[in-house]
Amino acid sequence: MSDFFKNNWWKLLGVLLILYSIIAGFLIEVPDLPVIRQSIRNLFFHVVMWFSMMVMFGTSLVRSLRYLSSFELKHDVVAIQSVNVGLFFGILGIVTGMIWANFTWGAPWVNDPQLNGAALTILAYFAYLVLRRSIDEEHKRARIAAVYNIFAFVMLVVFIGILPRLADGSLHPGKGGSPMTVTNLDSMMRMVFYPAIIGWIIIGFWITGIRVKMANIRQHLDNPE
Amino acid sequence: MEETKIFVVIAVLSTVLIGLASYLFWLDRRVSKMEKEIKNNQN
Repeated sequence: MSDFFKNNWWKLLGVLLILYSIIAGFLIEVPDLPVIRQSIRNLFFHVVMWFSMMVMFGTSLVRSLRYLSSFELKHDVVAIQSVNVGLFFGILGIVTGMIWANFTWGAPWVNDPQLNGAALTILAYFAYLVLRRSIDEEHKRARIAAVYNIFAFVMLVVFIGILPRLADGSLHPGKGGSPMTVTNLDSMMRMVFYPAIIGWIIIGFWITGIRVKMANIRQHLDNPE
Repeated sequence: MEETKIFVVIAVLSTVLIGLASYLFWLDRRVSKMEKEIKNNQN
């Protein structure tokens, strides 16, 4: 029993943080903004998906760099599985964003630099998966994929971090032309928002770990020594 | 309900949980396939 907690306490922490964010996310007082009204609470459920995606892709980048400096395939396995989980968060971010947009902007997809940037980023990472599938030799695949991964992360920073801020007329808060709501986000909301991000990132690492184990078993099955 | 838009939050949270569950089912199926393969290899 104590071994269970020793090895798994962080997973439990992740679940508890998310549970807390759901309960508190519905119960705390939030500023009543026009149009968006109570749906501002989606900050705890939609926005955290994007934060988690970026952390997963960032983890992947770090592992790709470590692969390139060591040529150890164990880093490559984590790099690819982090991208897989990051894409899962990205797709959830897109779908939940479309639901939210439909009820605030009147359409699931509007021509907004933030939306298009997010879509392009996800496409760039799908291209990473396609690229990997096209190379058979594993060290060659790991090397080329790692180099592409650096490029993909630069695309993420440009498409999500830079271009939407430079563009004028983004509907997203804090991006070109729109006031930043997060800076005057009250401290109550921060107390839910940050734990929610940490919770989902932990779940992301957990799923990545499971996928890495699966990939190792797959590898073993395909090439029995 | 319509006025406060709280239903949008419920829809988004439900989507996230359904998405997570679907992903776990899919992972589960892939693990089961490998388990079956191992069993077949042993026979």
